[in-house]
Amino acid sequence: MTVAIRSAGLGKQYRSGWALRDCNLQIPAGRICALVGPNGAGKTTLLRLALGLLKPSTGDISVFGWSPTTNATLVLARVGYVPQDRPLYRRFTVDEMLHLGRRLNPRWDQEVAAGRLRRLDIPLDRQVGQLSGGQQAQVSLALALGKRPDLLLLDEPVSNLDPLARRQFLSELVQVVAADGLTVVLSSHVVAELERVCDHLVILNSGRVQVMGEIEALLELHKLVIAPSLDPAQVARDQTVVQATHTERQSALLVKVGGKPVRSDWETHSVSLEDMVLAYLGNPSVSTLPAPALEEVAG
Amino acid sequence: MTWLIWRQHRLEGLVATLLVVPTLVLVAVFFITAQPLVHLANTACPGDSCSSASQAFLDRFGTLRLVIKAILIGLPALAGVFIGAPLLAREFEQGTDQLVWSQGITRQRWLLAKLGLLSAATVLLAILLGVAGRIWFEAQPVLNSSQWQEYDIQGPAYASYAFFSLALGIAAGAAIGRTVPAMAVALVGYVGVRLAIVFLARPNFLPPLQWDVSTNLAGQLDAWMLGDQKHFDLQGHPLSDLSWQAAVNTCSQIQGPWGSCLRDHGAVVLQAYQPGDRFWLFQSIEAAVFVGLGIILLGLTVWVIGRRS
Repeated sequence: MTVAIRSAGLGKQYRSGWALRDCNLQIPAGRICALVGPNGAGKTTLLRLALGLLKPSTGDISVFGWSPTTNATLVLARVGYVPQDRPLYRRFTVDEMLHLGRRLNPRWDQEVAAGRLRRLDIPLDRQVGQLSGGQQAQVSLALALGKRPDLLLLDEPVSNLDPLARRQFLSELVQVVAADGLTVVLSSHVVAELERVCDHLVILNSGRVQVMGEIEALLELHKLVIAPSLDPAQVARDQTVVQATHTERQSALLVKVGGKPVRSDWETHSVSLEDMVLAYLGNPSVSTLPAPALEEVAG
Repeated sequence: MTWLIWRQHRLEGLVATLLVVPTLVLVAVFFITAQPLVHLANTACPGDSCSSASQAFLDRFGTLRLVIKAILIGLPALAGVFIGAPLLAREFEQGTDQLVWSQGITRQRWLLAKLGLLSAATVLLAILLGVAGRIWFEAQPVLNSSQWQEYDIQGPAYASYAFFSLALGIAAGAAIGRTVPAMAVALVGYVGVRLAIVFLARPNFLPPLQWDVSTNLAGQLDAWMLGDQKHFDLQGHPLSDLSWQAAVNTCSQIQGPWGSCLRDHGAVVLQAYQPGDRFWLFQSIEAAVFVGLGIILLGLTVWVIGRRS
């Protein structure tokens, strides 16, 4: 397994405090990884560390084995980045934005960038500021893809987009990844759309990695248990309870299935990605990370 | 990078050209059309018709003369306010720093290219204006003006003001990160530093010479007089007001040279001055000071940007 991003003991301290602490992370290559967490969880900080826009305060991070700070040009040439709020030079035409990409990137592929926008009927001679939000997002994506990156970092790429533009953007993204096999890390605080798009999940909470793993495996691992109102301690003996909701008559528990099977007389349901993520975000004391031993074998 | 810099700053470039070229034309027009009257004044002076000939020049060209001077004084400040301050601050405000720093070149290269090219363009235009300022000065009756009075709009010092102004604006933008406050700092800072150098540093770039007013200041028509005349006794000690009054009272009643009479009565009057042949030396010293300050500011900018998250 090739690892796209690996970090060990990674931390970043700003004047206002720690944005990221003791972050041990492995994002395998060729996946679309969702980086999820509430605002201020450290998602942007992590992406900017991976790009070398920030220097770590503690620990280190590598991208395809390269340090983004000591091998800045190498990493910058291989990593496409769409920053938060998708900034563009608003007075440039689309064509001029692509020209910027051509001038500043050694591996630039004009056809990849311009062809994509033409297919989407985005006029290349229009000023960027006059495009719709969805079209601007596509220009940002084209600019990042024109670099022919091995890794694509997207910081809240669909925020402030209407639902249709959101869906278009994400389906474009899936097509590209399917065709080129590049690695994508996509940060978001909205989970709803991600299930269709992503196959790997990292939950950041208050600057720490809380959950990391394959989405499919994680969903299999978690169950919603509905049982007659009962003592949660009874469940907690065998399973890890991530979230518990009690009413007078029954309890709904989102549990991480442990070694022992759930009692057969209890009703169990599979969970959605969104339910699972929200359960974890509401309970920072529970975490699910690959065991270090397994990592060794996998690596 | 060159293309990007050109694309981002072509509007500023156009406006700068539209300010500089007409100014150069104005100076040329002034130089050519004023020549007949200047020639008249120069031949009439010193003489009985000197003041009327000089007045004729001023009546005809006084306004144009002042307009050009005002434009030349103001232009360097604009470089800092309108080119320097927004240079980095606007990128930060619109988030485009993140965009451009994640392209395939390092932010150091991006920054050095920007600073280098914009400084070069600004200094080039300022040198042209500095030469024009000198021509403007030369195109006037000799007796009407002193080059020390028009020091601030000519020569290498003038070019260095523009560079300093630009660097101050860029550094303010980098440190503050917002365009409008950076513009204000660039303007206030530029005016403040310029005034401080004019009044505090420039008179003392070299120790002033002392002119004994009882003697003739031969060949020093073009001297820059510093401060008031001071009174001393023959031994070089400051003269008491009483003794000075006594000497003045005596000498005001006699005919003949005022200065030598005072000296006969024990009073020496000294005037501190900078001689005219120090003009270009002073210009060079001041240019070095402002270029040095500008380089320090650009160095700080590189440091601030390198640390910026």
